[in-house]
Amino acid sequence: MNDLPEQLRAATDDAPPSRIDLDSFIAREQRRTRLLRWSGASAGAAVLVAALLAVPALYAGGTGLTSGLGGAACPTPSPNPTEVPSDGATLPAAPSAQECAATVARLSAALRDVLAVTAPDRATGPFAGIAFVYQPRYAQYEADVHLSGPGGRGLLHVVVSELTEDPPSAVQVCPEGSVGRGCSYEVHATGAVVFVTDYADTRQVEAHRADGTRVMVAVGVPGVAGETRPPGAVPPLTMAQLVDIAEAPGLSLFPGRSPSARPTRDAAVEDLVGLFTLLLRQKFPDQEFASSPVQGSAETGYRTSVTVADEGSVSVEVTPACSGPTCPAPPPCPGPGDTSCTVRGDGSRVTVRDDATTRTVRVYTAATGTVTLRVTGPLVSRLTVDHLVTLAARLRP
Amino acid sequence: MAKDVEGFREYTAGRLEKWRRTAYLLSGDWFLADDMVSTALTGLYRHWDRVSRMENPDAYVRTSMLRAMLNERRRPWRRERVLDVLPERASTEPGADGVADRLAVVALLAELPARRRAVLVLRYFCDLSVEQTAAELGCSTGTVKSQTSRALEALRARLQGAELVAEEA
Repeated sequence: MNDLPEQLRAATDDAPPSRIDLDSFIAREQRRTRLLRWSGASAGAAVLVAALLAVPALYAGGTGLTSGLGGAACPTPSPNPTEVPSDGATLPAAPSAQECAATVARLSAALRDVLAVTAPDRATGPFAGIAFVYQPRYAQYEADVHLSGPGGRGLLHVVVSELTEDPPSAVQVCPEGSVGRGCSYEVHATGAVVFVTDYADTRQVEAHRADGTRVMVAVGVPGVAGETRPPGAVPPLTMAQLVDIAEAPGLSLFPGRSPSARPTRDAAVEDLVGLFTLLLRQKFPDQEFASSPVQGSAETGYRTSVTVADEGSVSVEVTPACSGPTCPAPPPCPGPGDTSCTVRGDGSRVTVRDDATTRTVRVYTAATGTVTLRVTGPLVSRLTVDHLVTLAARLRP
Repeated sequence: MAKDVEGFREYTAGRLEKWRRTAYLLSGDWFLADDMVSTALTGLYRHWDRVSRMENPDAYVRTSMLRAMLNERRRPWRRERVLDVLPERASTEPGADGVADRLAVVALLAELPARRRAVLVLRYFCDLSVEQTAAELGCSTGTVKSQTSRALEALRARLQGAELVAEEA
């Protein structure tokens, strides 16, 4: 069976039952519409109605429908095994119904407060209707707010979750060439790592706070569907407004918690693994990667490796320069087993060792140290000596 | 003016399953597919008065789902995970009962970059023309053709020389 349309149809033959109940969905949307209408008529009455409607919803069970459906704010986790994230990420434990309800109420109030200060004229509906819901699949709280600005209407999406890993490094967030062109990365005095990305149709800010909370804020750009933003297309919020929201003190999962004692970040390690992966990603944009943890230290140097699916692996070892009488002599050129050794104009030596399944390129520079790249498997035929020398030059300490 | 809820219900009920299947091919995950359809349904309901007057409201739903999928890829620092070994991957060997075939095509699609996957799904599952696909993805027809060609080339390479019948033009 090699007919693609037929294969695609067959691939969806065993569809499991849908979690979407159209009748319930319509009923919820009608409830929401009525609530917004009443809220508009009387702000004071709306707060009461919202509270009355919200209380049972906070404790209701559910099947994990999205916030967009206006489902229960704290749905109970479903036993459905498909709720395990497909990428194998470890999720924090789900909060109890009481904890969840309290967090939803607190975060919703905080979001309303910060919007009232930073963007008082942008929401298309009353602030009373703004509320978070808990998404058990991703263990995060989410809220959507419809906004309007000079360029039209756009949806603000806010996600608050617990940090489960260290923030990404600057080079991972803003690949070379993107810094200053819609991408920025800053470590603030509060210890928060804040990074900003401006896509054609979305403007996004993510704050990884020292108290262990991650806040992601994104707003759509009205009228943009492609990869380029036409002149005149303006999102309803500025970057500064998004940063204000992402850093709003109330949008924390752990209010009052002291900043965690994070291990000292080694920028050299982060840059090495980030740059190494990015450079390989440019060469193999479609392949699946797995990287080993970086080992070593600033004194001894670092090493790591990346396995490229079905292709083999590339390891890198970066050794710092050594100065002093106890330093070892520069390696012989060529050394035993080397295929070639070239001394370049800048004084660096490029040594190549080649066999059928392994290629090793070592670039030695007295002033900066040594970078050694070793390729094994079918990748040998795809990563030429020139490729590896270029890669090594970029990774030079 | 009251919202035409019955019109919405009638229109949606007959198409929900097809949208789910499209979303599944785009995401490779039935749970995510339901999420994508839910998001699209919300937009459709809230803008039903306007969207129902469009020539093809289906396009609105598909565009919503595509945006949801394409936005996911915009977190490169989330895609790269430090692992000691590559995770097990779905087998692409054909099986007697056809189950392996079904899993294989979804696994192969998942290996494609998001836009190429979207192009294949729109053209060969949703039966859209090059022009319609370009309109829904917000790109040129030339881009659709080149993405289609590269996607099919990648699939053929992964199928290790097996014939893959698909009209490219």
